[in-house]
Amino acid sequence: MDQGIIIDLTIQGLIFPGLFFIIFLIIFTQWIYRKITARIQYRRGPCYTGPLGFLQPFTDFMKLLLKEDVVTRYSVKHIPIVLASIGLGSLIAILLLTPLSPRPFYGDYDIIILFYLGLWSSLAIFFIGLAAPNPYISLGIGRYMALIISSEPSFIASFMVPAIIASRFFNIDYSFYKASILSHRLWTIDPFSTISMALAAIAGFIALMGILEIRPFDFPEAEGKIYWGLFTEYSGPRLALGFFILFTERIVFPLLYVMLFLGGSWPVDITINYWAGFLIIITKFILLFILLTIIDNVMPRLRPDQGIRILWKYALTPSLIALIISLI
Amino acid sequence: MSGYVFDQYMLVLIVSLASFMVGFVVYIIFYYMFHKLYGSKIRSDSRLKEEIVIRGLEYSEEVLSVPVTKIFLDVMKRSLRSLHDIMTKELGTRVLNDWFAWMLIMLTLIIVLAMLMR
Repeated sequence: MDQGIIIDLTIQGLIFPGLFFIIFLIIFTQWIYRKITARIQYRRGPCYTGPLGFLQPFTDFMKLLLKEDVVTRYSVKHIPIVLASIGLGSLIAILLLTPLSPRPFYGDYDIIILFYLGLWSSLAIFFIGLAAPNPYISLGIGRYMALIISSEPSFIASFMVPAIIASRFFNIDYSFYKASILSHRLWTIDPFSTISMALAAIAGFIALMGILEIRPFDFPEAEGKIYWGLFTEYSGPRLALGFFILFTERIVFPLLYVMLFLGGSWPVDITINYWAGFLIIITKFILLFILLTIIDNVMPRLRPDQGIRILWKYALTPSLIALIISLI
Repeated sequence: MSGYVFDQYMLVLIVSLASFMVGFVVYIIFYYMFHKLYGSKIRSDSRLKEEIVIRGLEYSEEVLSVPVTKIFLDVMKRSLRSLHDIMTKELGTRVLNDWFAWMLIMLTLIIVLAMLMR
């Protein structure tokens, strides 16, 4: 492989749009999340650390990292940390396949690779939970398995729809990068594409809420009911890494949704004017994130069986219908 | 379109390399470095820290881990009751507990989708 490609891969993976950019976005989005949550609950939210309390999420993250690493005598010690790191790496590597990268890495059928990378974070969360035996964690993991098995197929099916339509009409061979460049045109090709895109957008949004454990689908954690579900036994740096994965998921998956269903960089062509296109994608993402935050704050939590039923009815079924319509 | 175009095999290799590289840096900086520099120095040994969180109650090792698959199946059974009843009673099968049957369903789905997409 060319040395220049390796250097570019390293720079993009570690700095922009990779690790450091994601850390900045986590700080920014968590600050927004806390401010909105506080306003909904008639509080002020973070105010003291940094301008307008902007650095409070970073301070909390550092506080967890600097704590003692406590594990119970029944827990697996090192493997959860390694898998959490790989899960994070996979999530961040997804951004290298998208137009957010100034020099993206792409090819035919790269959407399959993107789904493969996306699954790693869920597997990492599974393993983090299973590595620390506790009845509350077992309950959380069982619920999380049901949630992921119900929302992941609808997420994949609905995100396949734009790629299928783009491949049929623009001959792009299931490339996520190319589909996201053309995504604003996919809504209006013909009536079938409009219907399938609309169905897939609705199903994809509900599945997205499921994967991100946005209320009403937050039953795997269910604070107060099953302690903290998956993270009951975790504290310090282990909890920090768990949060790191969850918060990164809340950035990467909505970004993918923006790029496929909300027109991506439209009205600007990101291949011509990168920074304008980049700013438009980030603006759309922030708006979507605010919407998800408001939903997370105003919705009640459903019982696991109610949540799973909703996902099968209103996410999986429409996404499969959309998939079939897009193939006609 | 600018960027790097690869075939599928090379792309999998490259993104896997990127994943492991970023994961390695995360592990070194956000766990190992902080742990070595700070976390290990403030360590205080206590028998209590090694116990699990179970509302302060005494516990036996047998109750530490509830079978996760049973919880998963219970959630699925409650949420898709009619489908579960059809599969277990009408078809007379224990398909929901059978990983081979699950994989067979997945394979059938993939074949049907592949034929539709042809």
